[in-house]
This record gives sequence, structure tokens and C-alpha cells, in this order.
Amino acid sequence: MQTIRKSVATFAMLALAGGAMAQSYPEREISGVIQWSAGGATDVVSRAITPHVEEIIGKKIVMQNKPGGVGAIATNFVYQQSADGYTLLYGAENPQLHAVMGIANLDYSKFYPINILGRGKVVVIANNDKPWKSFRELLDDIEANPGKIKMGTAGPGSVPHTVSAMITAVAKLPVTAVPFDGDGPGLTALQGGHIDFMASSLGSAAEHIKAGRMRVLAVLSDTAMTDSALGNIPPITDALPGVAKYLPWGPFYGVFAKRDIPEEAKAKLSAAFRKAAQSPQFIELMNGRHNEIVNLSGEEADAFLKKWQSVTAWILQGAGLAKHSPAEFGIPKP
Amino acid sequence: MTAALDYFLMSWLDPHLMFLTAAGTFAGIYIGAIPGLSVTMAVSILISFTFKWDMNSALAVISGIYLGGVYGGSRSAILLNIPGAPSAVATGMDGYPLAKRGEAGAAIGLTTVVSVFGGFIGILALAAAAPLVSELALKFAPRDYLLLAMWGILLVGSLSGDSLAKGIFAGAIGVLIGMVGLDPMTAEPRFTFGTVTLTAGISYIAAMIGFFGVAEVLVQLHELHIKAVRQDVSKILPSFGLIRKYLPLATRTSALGVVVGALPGAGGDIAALMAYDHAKRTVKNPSRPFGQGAYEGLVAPESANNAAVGGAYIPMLTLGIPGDAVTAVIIGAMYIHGLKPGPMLMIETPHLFWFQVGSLALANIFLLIFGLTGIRIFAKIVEAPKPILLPLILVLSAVGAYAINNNPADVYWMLGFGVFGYFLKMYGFQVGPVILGIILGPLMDRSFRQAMISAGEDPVQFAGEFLTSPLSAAILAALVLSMASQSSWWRKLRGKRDMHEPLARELEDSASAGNV
Amino acid sequence: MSTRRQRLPGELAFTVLLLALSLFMVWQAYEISGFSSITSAGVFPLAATATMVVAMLRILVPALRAPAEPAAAGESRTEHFVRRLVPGALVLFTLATAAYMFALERIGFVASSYAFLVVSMFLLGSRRLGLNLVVSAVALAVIYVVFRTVFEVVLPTGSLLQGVLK
Repeated sequence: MQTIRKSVATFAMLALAGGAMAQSYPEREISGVIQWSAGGATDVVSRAITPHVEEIIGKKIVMQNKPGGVGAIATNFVYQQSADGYTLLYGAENPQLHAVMGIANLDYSKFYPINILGRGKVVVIANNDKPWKSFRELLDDIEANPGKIKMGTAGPGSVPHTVSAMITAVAKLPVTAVPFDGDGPGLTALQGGHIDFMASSLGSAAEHIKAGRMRVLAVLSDTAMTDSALGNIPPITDALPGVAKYLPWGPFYGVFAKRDIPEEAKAKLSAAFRKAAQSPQFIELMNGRHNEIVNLSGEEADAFLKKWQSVTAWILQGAGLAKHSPAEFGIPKP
Repeated sequence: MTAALDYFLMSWLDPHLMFLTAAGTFAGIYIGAIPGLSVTMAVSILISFTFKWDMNSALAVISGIYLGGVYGGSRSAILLNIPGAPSAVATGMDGYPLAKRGEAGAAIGLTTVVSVFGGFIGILALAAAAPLVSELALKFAPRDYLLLAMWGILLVGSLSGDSLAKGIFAGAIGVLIGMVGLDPMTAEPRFTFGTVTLTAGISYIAAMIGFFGVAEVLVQLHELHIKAVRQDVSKILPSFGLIRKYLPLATRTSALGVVVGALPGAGGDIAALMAYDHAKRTVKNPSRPFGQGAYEGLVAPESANNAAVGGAYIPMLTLGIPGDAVTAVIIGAMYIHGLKPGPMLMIETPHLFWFQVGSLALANIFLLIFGLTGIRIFAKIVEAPKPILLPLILVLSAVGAYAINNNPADVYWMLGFGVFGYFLKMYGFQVGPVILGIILGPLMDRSFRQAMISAGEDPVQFAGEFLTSPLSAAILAALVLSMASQSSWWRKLRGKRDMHEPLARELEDSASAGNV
Repeated sequence: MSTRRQRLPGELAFTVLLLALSLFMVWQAYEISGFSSITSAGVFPLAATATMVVAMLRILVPALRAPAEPAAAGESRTEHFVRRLVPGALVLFTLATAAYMFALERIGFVASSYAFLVVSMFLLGSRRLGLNLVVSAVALAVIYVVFRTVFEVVLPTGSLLQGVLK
């Protein structure tokens, strides 16, 4: 017992972080629920901004990961909490597709977007041992050897899944799609040669590309991308001009709370996140991961979310991958 | 090279870093010992609170917590038969029987020494062979993970007590519990009965606390008035002879721990289970039969799970790929601190690598010191009167189950599994295989489906790949050999053991006859 | 191995119950995706539940053959079951635990845990009231500090007493 108390005392001393007495809204700490697992793209962005927000609002935000079900588990969990502004959802784009993918009916329309933090770029990458020098060569190879080439993917509505839907919509893609739990495990399998190519967010792949451990074939954009470390990456439209109509497209990261939380909480949280997103440290992190800072909240963010959902849901529908038509849920055509 | 040495010694020479490493190790032991407090949790909390510190200080505390935490799980497993963490499930199999004999002190002492030994093997592998091991880890295809999971699930045979059928049933129910929720691959609901709460699945920590913690408390209610065994704490440090005797086994299981720990899809929990299985299959004359307090049953899993710590750092530091949940959180912390974990990390910031190796080595030394002190007080816990001890364990279990996900439903699951586990135990089932199923079921499910899809859903092609890939063929051969060495025809081939068994039975019979 | 295990009271019923549960789960597993493909989400659930059924059948047969443990003289079957499996202390303690969990969310962690500790220590036969009160308080304080302060676990504060006790 005594030893336990000693250790507690050591820790309590370390824990004595000062926090000024706040006024009305955050009168206790806030809990933050992250949709994806620790160490993933969403997790890093969420944990990177939170300390800056804590500093502004003067209360701790206790973070926890609740991964699973392509984000549906955390989304459901936050939706079940009371609308007092003390539970935040740190999420990515996935819930916007849950309805059409038949996973859940809950999307961000039931949540208030406190801040859309940023958007990621998507690249198509291949294993180093493969001969393809361009995305066109890969597509030709796939067509010549249907079913022989292995593509990494993640759950329905994930980045690789949506990108393959875009490609399928304009070209043939007879590949063997091997599902992984997310970008990270997929990229690991790519390096081991267990899959041949994969679409991934650039943030997760950048360091591996830089080290020459995988080859980037294209960026999901209609213009080439030039980066000092990554070199010149040709756009996907070089090989598939038809994809252009779906662009620009990319994953996004944001912070949400239930729609009907008190106005005061909405205002304070939005202001705090808006300011935190401008901190140099956060900007550096986002740049380092090749994420574009969006920093939108409220109505602007709602418009962003709606547009994203309508574009992506109809892509999936067009590619025949959607389980339910977006029309069933009143999602307008873009 | 001198620069590397400078960075290696940095935490050894700076009193501030040294203190942080020591504090981390000390705290880690207790975090590990309490079921429900996990190293992952501790590290993620540390990250928001070391945000303003420099990266080295944060890494020093984390090294300590990680090594201490993995070791600490054995404490509660030995003393209370409640593993503090999934990596200590195997430790309780022989550790608790030792505590029941009044040898808790010696068991903890031996555990500490082999944990530190395993830790050093892991650190050595990290320092000397990191690039090599990480390339090997990348070579593991889904089918190889499937083989590993199958190897682990064979342990059901060792854990099922006197009825194999009951062990298999318990293992299968564990797999079933692990399947509940949305399928991670297709997001289809499995066993959710249309409810939203079940989509999140059942927390396996809540299940572990229920099946081990609560069920054990209920079983012990039958022994309320039996006086607790007095613990002999006069001899804590294992003798040199004993350590030397177990060195070969500990070296083998540590090597196993390093490799399994380095695999991005498997960690210390699976390493410990495989190590226990290895010991059970290869040790011919354990100090006591396995399951009744064999020292080998402590040596194997405890050296393996601490070796897995060094292993888990390998892909993280060389490739930026997390070896387990804890290193995943550390990678997140590195990003926040402005570092870019990835294959370039060792090239752009080699000092970080050597600093990390140094602080792990230092933490391992603190582990030896803190692990061997305070055992006396700990061993006394078992001597506490049951009417006071059991309610306390229950409250701790409830908070622990709640703390994992801040979810009150997990507490009810814990109680439900506890009562179910109680009846299972009373009717001669073992609960160990349940946890085995929960841990390995999802891994088997995922790797089987990935491997089968990769083979174009063609069973012939799928089977063929096990033979055509050199790595898979090697693992398969090792698996078959380890199974064959147990079968009766193998023994007949060697022609030794069968001769002794009838004799032993005769001796047993005459002994029991003498008693009457 | 040498001594044949005797069948405990209630063991047959428990075994049959588990068999029924296993069969029900096979049906549930089949419902996930039927036999649509060898890599569907339902493959492993089906394999696991089928294993449960087969194992349970293998358990049922020896259980039927095993000799029942003889009840003590003058003891009814129910009394035998109660004595061997659900003695009074165990039932009371389990009920106390269930009540504690129910109270957790309503009157908060501190109050419910303290009440549970004190009551169950008494129930289990620790009659030194003062000692019970002190040990419970100290242990609870340590748990509270570790979980609440250091680990920032938001322990239930209780919906009934919110605002009164925090």
C-alpha cells in the first residue's frame, strides 16, 4: 500500500498542470473520442491539435480511441451521449458514406461541425519490385492479367475503396482486392510484397516514399504535384482523364459534437479550434503530412460536408459499389 | 560510433532523464499489475502531458512505463490469479499454484530475473539487428500470421485441464466473443442482435477481468474460512544454479519474443502464449508438472513478453511501422513533437535511435531493482483475510473494466462473464482457453480471409502457397514438428517415455494405497 | 485421469443449456452471410459455433455416464445444488455486486463503492466494523487518485446526486 501511495504521489506531482478557472461552459473536462486507432492518420491530427485547444479553453480534453466499423462505433457512441458539449467526436470522412454502404444510418448531418481541420491528398503507390513506371503501365498490366494483381484496400467507404470505385467507374479494374484494417497495415503489406499496389493518403505513405521503399505512381488530382522531397508526381488524369469529373477529392479530418449542444459551447469550441488550427506547430505538422488546412466551422463546414457526401456517394453508386442508392437518403446528385 | 555511445549514455548521465526513467519504470510496474490500467492508456495520457517537454524526456518515461508495465502484469497473475494484462495470461497458469504453495516470493523473484533477461535480449536485438529483424517482419504474409495464430490456438490442448473437449469448447466460445461487433473488413454486423451497443464489440479486457478476476473471486468464496497460506519470503532471489538451468529455455523464448514482438500484427500477449506452449512441449522434466507450479511455466512467457518490448521498437524505429498498440501511440507522439517517424528516422536522426536503446537498457536495470524490492509487502496481499481482500478486488475489477472504454456496459459484461466463468470453472472447464480464443480468434479470422482472398479464393492455390513460400514452409515445418514431438508414435519411435509411464503409475498406486 | 470425475449437481442442466446456446449461435452465425463465400464475414463465426456444438456433444456423453456426486444424508437435490454451487454467501455477494453496478451510474462511483465495500466485507464475515470502514476508505482514496487524477478516467458521478455531490 505504501509503495502504491508513493508512486501516486510522484505522479500527482507531475500531473499538477495549472489550469485557470474557466467561466461557465467548460466547467469540467471534456472527453474526446477518436474514430480510428492510435497512431493512425486521424489520431495524429486529433492529438496534435488538442493540446492547443486545451490551452485556450483552460480545461483538459481526455482523448480515447474507439476504432472499429469504419468509424461507425465512435460515431454511434458520441451520438448516444447527452448533448451537453462535453463529448467531442474526432473523425474522418467515413461516416458520410455509412448510409450508402449499409453500415449505419448516422452521418455528420446529426452533428455540429466544430472544425473541419484539414484535407489529405491521395496517391497510388506500388511495390518497389514491380516494373510499372506509371499508372498507365499498371492499368495495362492489370488488363493483360485479370485477377493476377493484388490491390490493397480497407473497409467499405475507406480511401482505397473509394478510389478504386472512381477508377472502376471509368475503366476496368479486374484486380484481387485484399482488405486491411487501414492505411497502416496495408502499407506494411505493400512493403513486404503481399500486395502489389494500393491507394493511400499521402500523409501515411510520404515517409516511405521519401526513403525509396515504395514507388508513387500518381496523385489523385488533375494537376501534377511537385514536392522537394517527393519529386514530381504525375496526376491520375494522365492515365485516366475520365476521373477528372470526380476531383478534387480527398479524405478530411474534423471535430464534431452533437447538433443540439448549447450555443455557448458551440461558439466557444469553434473559436478555440479555429485559433488552435492556426498555431505554427499544428501548421507544421499538417504540412509535414501533406495535409491541406481547411479550418472551417459552422455553416461553411456543413456545406463542405454536404458537397463531399454528394460527390462521393454518387461515385460509389456510379461504380455499382453502393449498397443503397444515395437517392434513398435524399443525397442530391452533385 | 562515439557519437552513438554518447547518445546511448545520455539518459544514464543526466540525473533528470535518469529520474524520469526510474519513475516511469516504477509507475509502470503498478500500472501493469492493475487489470484495466494498460500501458497503452498510460502512454497516451503521458503524451498530452509531455507535450511541452522535449522528446527525449517523454521517450525516457515511456521506455520505463512500457518495460515496467509488461512485467507488472505478472504480479497480479501470480498473487491473485488475475492477469494484470493479456500478456500475463500464461504466467498465472503456474504462478498462482506457486503462490498457493506459499512460494509467491520465489515466483516473483524468478519472474523478475527472467523478465529483465528477456528485456535485455530484446534490447540487444534492437541495437544489433534492427534492420535485419524488421525486414524479416515485413516478409510475414497473412498466411504466416494464420500459422502463428494456429500455433497459439494449439495451446488450448495445454490449457484445458483434464478434458480436451471442454478446453476446445472454451476456446471456441472465446473466438465467438471476439467476433461480436462489426466485421473490421466488411463492416457487416456479427452477433449484434440488431442492437447498436453490440456493434462496438465486447471489450476483451472486460472479458478477461470477468473470466479471471470476478470468477476467481466467486470461486474463492468457497474458501472464505480457510486460512491463507503463509508466504515464505526468505528466499526471493533465485540461485545462480537455477538461473543457469533456465538460461537455454529463456534464450529460446526471448528470441521468439523478439520476432513475434516485431511483427506489426502480433505482440507480447501472443509471444507469451507461444512461449508457454514451447516450454510445455520441449521441457522434459519440469520442476513440477505444468499447471501445478512449474518454474518453466514462469520463465518462458515472462522472458518472451519482455523481449517483445525491444522487438516492438524495431519496426517502429527502423520503418515507422508500429509493432503494437503502444508503439503506435509513440509514433503519434513523435509526429506531435515534430519528428517524422519512418524509414528516414534512423538516417536523419540516428541519435534518437541510440538514445532510445540507452533509455530502454537503463529502464531494464531499474526494473531489476524495483522488481526485487517490495516483494515482501506484495506477497502479504495474499495473506490478507479473504472477506476484506475479495470485495477490494471486485471494486478494482469494476473500475478497471469501466476505465478501458469509459463504458458502464463493460462493467455489466464483466459481471456476466464472471458468473458464467464461475459455473464453467466449477463444472471443470478452464477459462484460459476463452482468453486465448478472444486474443487469437480475430487474428485468425483476418489473416485467413486475407490469405484466401490473396490466393484468389482458390483453396488449392491457398494450400499450395504454404509450401511454395520459403518462410511459410519453414513455419509450417516447425509447427508440424512441435506437434509431432508430442504424439504417441513419435514417443514410440524414441522408445523412452512409454517405458516409464506404467512404472510411474504403479508407484503412484502403491503410494495412494499406503495412505489408506 | 485415475479417478473418474463425479458429476456435480446442476452439471447436466448446464451442459444441455450450453448445447442449446451453441445451436442457437450456429443459427445466428449462419444468418451473418450464409454460405455465400469462403471468405465472407460469417465463415469464422460458423466455424467457431460449429466447434462449440461438436465439443459440447463430446462433453455431454461422459457427463451422462459419470456417476453423480452423492448428496449428503437427508439432503434434497436443491439443497445439494445450493451447498455445492450457490451457497448463501456467494448469492448475497453476487447480488451485492449487481446492486453496486446498478448504483454506480446513479449515485456515483465514490458513494456506491464505499457502500459496497463496507456491506460486502460484513457479508463475507469480517465483523470488525471499524477496520472495514477504514480499509475501505483508504483503498477507495487510492483507487480514486490513481484512476481519476492520474489516469483521468471520468468515473461515474451519479445522475441522481449531480450538483449535490460532485
